Amino acid sequence: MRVLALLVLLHGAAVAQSATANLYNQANGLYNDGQFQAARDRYNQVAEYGVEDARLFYNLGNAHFKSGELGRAILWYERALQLAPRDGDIEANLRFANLVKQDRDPEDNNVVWRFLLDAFFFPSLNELCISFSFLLLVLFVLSIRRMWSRTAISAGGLVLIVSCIGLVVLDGVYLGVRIYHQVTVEEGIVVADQGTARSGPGKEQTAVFVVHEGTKVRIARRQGDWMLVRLSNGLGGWLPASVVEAI
Amino acid sequence: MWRRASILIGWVLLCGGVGQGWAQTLSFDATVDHARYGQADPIRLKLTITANESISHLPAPEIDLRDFYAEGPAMSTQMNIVNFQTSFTRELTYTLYARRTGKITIGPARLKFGNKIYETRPIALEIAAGSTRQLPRSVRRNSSDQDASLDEFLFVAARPDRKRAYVGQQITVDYDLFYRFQLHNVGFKEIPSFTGFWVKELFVAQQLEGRREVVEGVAFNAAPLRRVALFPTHPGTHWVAPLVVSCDVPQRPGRRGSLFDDLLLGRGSRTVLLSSDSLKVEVLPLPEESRPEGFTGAVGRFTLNVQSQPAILPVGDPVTVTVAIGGVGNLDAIEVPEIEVPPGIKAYDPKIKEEESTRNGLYGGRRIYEYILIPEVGGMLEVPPIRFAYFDPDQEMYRVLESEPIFVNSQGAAATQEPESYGLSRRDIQAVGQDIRYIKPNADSLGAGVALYHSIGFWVLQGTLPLAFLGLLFHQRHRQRLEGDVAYARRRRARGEAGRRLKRAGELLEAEEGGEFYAEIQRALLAFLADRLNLSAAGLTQESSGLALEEKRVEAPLVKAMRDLLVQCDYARFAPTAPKRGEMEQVRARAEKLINRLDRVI
Repeated sequence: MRVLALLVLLHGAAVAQSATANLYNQANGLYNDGQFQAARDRYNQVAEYGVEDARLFYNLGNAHFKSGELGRAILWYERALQLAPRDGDIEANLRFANLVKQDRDPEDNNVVWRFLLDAFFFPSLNELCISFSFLLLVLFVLSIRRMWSRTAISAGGLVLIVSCIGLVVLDGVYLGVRIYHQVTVEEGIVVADQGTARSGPGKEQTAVFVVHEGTKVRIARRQGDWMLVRLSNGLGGWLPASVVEAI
Repeated sequence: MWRRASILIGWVLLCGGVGQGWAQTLSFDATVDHARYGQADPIRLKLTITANESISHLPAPEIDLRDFYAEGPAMSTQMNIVNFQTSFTRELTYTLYARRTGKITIGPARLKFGNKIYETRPIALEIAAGSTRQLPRSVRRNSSDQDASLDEFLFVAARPDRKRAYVGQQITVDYDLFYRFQLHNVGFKEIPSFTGFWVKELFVAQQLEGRREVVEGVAFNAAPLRRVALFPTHPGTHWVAPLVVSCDVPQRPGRRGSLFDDLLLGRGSRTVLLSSDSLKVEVLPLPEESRPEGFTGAVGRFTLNVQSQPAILPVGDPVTVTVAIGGVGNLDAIEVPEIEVPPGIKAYDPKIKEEESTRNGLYGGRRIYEYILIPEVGGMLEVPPIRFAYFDPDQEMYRVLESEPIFVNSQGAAATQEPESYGLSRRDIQAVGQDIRYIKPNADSLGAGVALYHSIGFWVLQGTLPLAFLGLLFHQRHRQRLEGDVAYARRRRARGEAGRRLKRAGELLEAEEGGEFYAEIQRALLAFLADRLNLSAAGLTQESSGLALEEKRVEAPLVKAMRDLLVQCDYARFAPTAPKRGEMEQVRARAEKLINRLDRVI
């Protein structure tokens, strides 16, 4: 009975999979025909099913871009890049979209810092999780073999086990830092044409700066319908929550 | 020296005590030697602070010197006592070189002392180009200032090869450092902007390589610092701003003290700024008369070389015409020579190559234009000669170079194909538009997209492996101990063994074999104790078992219960009457309870 229930569940999942893939392919067809807005709506339907796939997010970015929605295009490219951080197409389109947007990003001249930042985000979180599991499994197998061995441990064996422990610890710390960053640092993209940031959460507060569609912000706090955001140049202010969508 | 100082300090303390009621007075002045300077002349700005109390804690004055290259300040402090009144004087001396000509105001300098701010009067200076000092360098030592005597040992010379030139004619300026003692940390402080010139750097020194040179009878090391080729862009009088160099020099150049001075006091060094003179250059316009047609501004000495290949070809095939203009002069002033293509030949824009060179200090090189011509009709086609005009400044006349005409012998009928397919490969591909990259292709399935770190299964798996390892480790240890440690093994199996004996006793109870039953209960108790305490079961009696338990500090009621049970078993085994079933069940229950309690305490 349980097996039957499991089979039904699996079958249901497979049907859902193929349904979302069908919708995605239909959207691709619409995009090919130049019906960008219809393609965008179809891609959005797939995303609403909870599918998280870099290809879907990238195509969604393209469909928004071609529909003239630059902010949402950048938003979906950013989301796609989180899943596939080394995808050349996503990087290229995100770079292009950022060149087209109205607010210019501050120039980052620190090459070393840029390199370190790129290296830090080089692997995706899932890749890090898998590498951590793999290393842990290798360490487990090595330890069990060692436990059952009746001979004294060789120098090579010792080095292997110590290195493996070191790698597990390093990978674990790196994974921990990345997860901490993912959980604590919330970023968003301005999706409205423009938004006026104010000194406090309310329309009566003083306007401090204006951001335009596509600008990336760091979301520091939320309060009611307002969010406190910080820009990469250090400016900070309260924007209506409808102006920004979290990545 | 120390005696003098102590007397002075005594006076200061005395005067300080007497003069506590005085108001603090301070004067603050700024002075320079002259009101008019050349841009290459050093300006000694002296700030003097005089006060009637110690000024050792005074902050540095604030002064805006953005119009100058500033060196210093050198600081000196003095204390004077006149008529029992002490005064302190501090002098700060800056050496300045003006960054620009014209009227420049120094100051005011500001100084905060106590709660009051003191200001000097601003000093207006007039700065002329070049140097106002007319004396030759070797005799510029009449100044009492120490830096003036530096010229004897150290200066930067700017030497142009000509002071009068035509527009576009090369003027080579050599900047050399002349020095008579070891220098350190020589570096360019300011590179002139060369306004009004097109500039080509010919040489920049990476290290000092001095050669011997005699200036006005004095031998110097002369090290080339920089050599630039300047090409004036428009006529008139031009000034070349000075080159400013900084270097470290010994404190007292040339004046060797005693050996003790050198050893005890050392020979420190200080940083000085050296400035070359500004250069005045007269730039003449190119003559208007006899200016040839097609002259585009090339000045120098050039040659023209034109080649075409192949001479005979089928219609539609490309001919490469190479026009090379080389020589000395500013290559950037050469414009693309025009080819007058006859009808029936299609020409494409040339591909340009440039080779720079410097020969005998003269900048020049070669510019090569590669034209692609495609004959579209058959026959002997003639391309008129290519002309190139330039001005020769040495001969002060225009010259026109002219090539031979180019003949293209194209054979065959007019081309039927579009000739555009030819020649395009000879040009770099240009981007004509930009767009985002295209969408990703269709997919059979899409990712479920769960971030692994969000999934409980992932963390359970990460926890399982270490826990499984710990479990296996514990099991391994347990097994090894069972094999190697008899006491441990007996202890571990004692409860199980006792359980089996009690079960056997239960069976004997059911079979109503009273004697055997009590014997089994007795064996179960004694064997349990022997295993738990690692003693021999054979030698264990009710007495010795009680003692062993007391040694283990088991509480007395429990020991007594044990003894009582063993005694009861003894009596019952050998009693003449058959034991009652109820009594036997009670004994078995007591034995089980006793074993359980002992299991917890020993």
